[in-house]
Amino acid sequence: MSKDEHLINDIKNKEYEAGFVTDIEMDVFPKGLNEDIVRKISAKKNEPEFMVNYRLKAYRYWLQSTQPEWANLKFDKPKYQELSYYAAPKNTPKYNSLDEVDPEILETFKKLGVPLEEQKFLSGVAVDAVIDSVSVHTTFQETLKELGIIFCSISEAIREHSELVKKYMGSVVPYNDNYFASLNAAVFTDGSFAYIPKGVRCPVELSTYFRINQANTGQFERTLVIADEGSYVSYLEGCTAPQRDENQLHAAVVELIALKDAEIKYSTVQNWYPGDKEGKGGIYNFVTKRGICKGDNSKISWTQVETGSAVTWKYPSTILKGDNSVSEFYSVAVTNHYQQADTGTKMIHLGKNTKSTIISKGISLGKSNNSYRGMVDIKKSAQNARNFSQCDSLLIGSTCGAHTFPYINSENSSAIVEHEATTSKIAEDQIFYCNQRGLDTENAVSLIVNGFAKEVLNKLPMEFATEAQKLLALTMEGSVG
Amino acid sequence: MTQHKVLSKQDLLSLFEGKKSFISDIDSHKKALDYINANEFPTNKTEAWKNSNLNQLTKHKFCLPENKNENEVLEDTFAVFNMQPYKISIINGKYSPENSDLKLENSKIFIGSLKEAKEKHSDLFNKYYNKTESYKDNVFASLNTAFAEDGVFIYLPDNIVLEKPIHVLFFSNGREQKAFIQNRNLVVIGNNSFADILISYHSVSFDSVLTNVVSEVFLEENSNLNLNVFQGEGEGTFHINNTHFIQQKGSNLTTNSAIMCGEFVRNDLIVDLLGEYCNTSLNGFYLSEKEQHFDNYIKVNHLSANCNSNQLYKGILDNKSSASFFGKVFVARDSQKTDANQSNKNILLTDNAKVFSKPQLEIYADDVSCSHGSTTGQLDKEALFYLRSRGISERNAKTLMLYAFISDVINQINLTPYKELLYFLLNKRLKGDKIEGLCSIKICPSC
Repeated sequence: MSKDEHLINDIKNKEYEAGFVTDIEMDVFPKGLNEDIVRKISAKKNEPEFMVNYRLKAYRYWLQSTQPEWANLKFDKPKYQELSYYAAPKNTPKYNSLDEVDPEILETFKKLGVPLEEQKFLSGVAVDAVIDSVSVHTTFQETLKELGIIFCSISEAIREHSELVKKYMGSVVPYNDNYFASLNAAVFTDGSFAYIPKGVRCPVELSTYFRINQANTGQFERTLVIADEGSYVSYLEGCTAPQRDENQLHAAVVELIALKDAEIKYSTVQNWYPGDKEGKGGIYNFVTKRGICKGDNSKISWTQVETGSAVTWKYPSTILKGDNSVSEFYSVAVTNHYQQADTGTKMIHLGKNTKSTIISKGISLGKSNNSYRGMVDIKKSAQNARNFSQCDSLLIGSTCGAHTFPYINSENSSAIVEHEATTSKIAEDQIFYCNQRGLDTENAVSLIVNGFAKEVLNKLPMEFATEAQKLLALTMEGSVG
Repeated sequence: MTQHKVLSKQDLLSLFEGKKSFISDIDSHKKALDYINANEFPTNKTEAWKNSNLNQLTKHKFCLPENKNENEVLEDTFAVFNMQPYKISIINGKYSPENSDLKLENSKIFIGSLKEAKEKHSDLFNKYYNKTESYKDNVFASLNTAFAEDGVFIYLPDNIVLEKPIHVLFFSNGREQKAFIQNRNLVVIGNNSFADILISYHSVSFDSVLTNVVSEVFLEENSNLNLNVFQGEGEGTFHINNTHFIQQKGSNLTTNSAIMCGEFVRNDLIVDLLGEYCNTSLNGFYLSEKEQHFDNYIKVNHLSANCNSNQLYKGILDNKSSASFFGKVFVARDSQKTDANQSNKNILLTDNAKVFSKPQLEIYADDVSCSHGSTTGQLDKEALFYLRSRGISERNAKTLMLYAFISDVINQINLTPYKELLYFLLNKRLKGDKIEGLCSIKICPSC
């Protein structure tokens, strides 16, 4: 066996490093889903009347819709009646200081490197940590309060800021948007809520760490970020989950609303458990993420690094409604072993002079399949709209697949839409060039791959960029084609 | 809720009640019928037909053409100037010897009616007919397989270089009736052989017709085929075309499709690269206006290593017209060293025109170089300004730029007389001159 093959085997056999289970007592609902469960979830959360009705409406819609099958994915349908729809750590009092928090939870976060303790001051990250659906601790609340910024769990927001929630929830992703969004609307248990008032520039990066912890528990997060006129916020989301044999379902909904002159920067690193090297287990990730540039001159940018999940079905989209609004989508998706990813974006241009940029990089290894599926839709009203899309795929190994499915619709003659995509392996001459300059093949590959993804990684906030690079290196290292 | 009218399968099937298959044997006929019974006509929910609305078809009631003037000799205005081809004509799906001119120097070559070939060359017919199983592609293709009456059969044995091009003319004649016309073609190019083929579609009346064509094309080892397709059927024509190519080792295929006429045109091209070292180049352009809809649907299946494929489709859309481009490059596992490119470029002249572009790559092999590009926009303002600053009127400058835009595609044609004809027609069209004739394009430079 050559050195290269050794390296490939090393990396192929790498076990999921964050795969551990925290032993915390859980409060779990019986398996299955019916109207009673939906009501019970709502009651558990002390939700007002309108939420119960909203959930039931969503549930009834979900019952009569069917799971979409158009994606380039092959998987066994989750058995929705076999899942338990609510799991929360028992006894969830509000802590005032870290000392009161269950030490085991703290241990979990420590392993994941959540800067919940001293580091929080150094890293400047406010963390709304979520363990299986219920917010455990929220930091930086004080600082944010002074500026009028609301950053809390969605359940709290439903109770305490119900006017805002009522106005905006479901306005970007309606309950009948798609199968998974309906399911989420019916049974979501927690998530984050952020509101940035007029003219405020959020001084810290808002960050939530999600973590699935209970076997057989579907995770249904709901995120709502509202940036009022002239405000700015950078929002981070990162995921990591422990090793499991059964497929777990994750169907989150994220809604972003940018009003006039506002800017939202949304970044995520997704590292759910991808299953073992036989393709067994792993998370199903069916996420609906959508933002709306509601006011003029607003901006939404999506940056995502996808390394995990057995199956990913995810299309962060933007509706460019306000004139002169701008949206960007930067994505790196790495798949290994039997992972499957069908991800991309949708840019819907409605306003005049709207601009969108799509940069997507896919890297496939092992027996995985990585698809980019994106839509650019220029409507008739979008005078002078401009789009540029670039999707590059890199294939490492002869058993993986890389696919590109763009949909480009244009109905305006003054709009310019460009799309380009390439698929290739790392060229021999590139490696030769590096070799010639004294780099061994392994370093050459890692250099080239890093360069390949750099354009996207550079868009991540500092803290995330480091984490993402580490993750990428972990999967890529030694994968000499 | 508004009631969506859907093209009814029963309406079209009832036309054939009591009719048996003319070309297909019992087995193929049955398989095709089974497919029709099991599947519906594509709707806008069908992914492959999403942007092509067949609902307009429901406005018409089609019937089978009555061939009253079967032996009518048509004017020779459709011939390409300066080209002396082997000429074969099909009128309303039936071979018309009166309008054909076939003096073959080699008795082994066969150019003629498919129905005739079924009797005279049954071995060849059985070897190739329905072998692409294209009836499985959609209900139109299976309708064709089940009920088509005739079409063209072109067979070139091994080691033949045809010096004259072959011009296949399809006439649709919906005179006094809205005819549903089916053509079934089979082309076989033997080992090391070479052919130039021009296929042109024309109508000889104003009425709406629905033309449904299925062609199977086999390129044997090291063969060469240049296939040009000219869509010149008149206004109100619905044209649905399925062409399936099978390429063996070392074969070269170049196609060029020109769509300038018709109400609704759907062109399906499927290429299976079965052998290594094949080259495929699929080009086309479309000029649409009014409420025309042109749809190009292309699939190139790289099933073998070391093949190259290229797609270049360009279009200019005016008024309320719409166009759809779907191009898929599929690279199977172990089809290493594949080099595939796709390019689709569109210019919208009005805000009422629509373009749907879907260039797709599906790749399962790693040592490949595949790319695609798609642009939709308007003319480059700086280039326009440059021309204006040289004293060229805005109208002329625009015409010049549009002409250059489409020239990229026309330039790739190596059948010179046809190429010149296309340039002529393009120029005429861009200048806004009405192209005379029975609303279809008569291809003679004098009109």
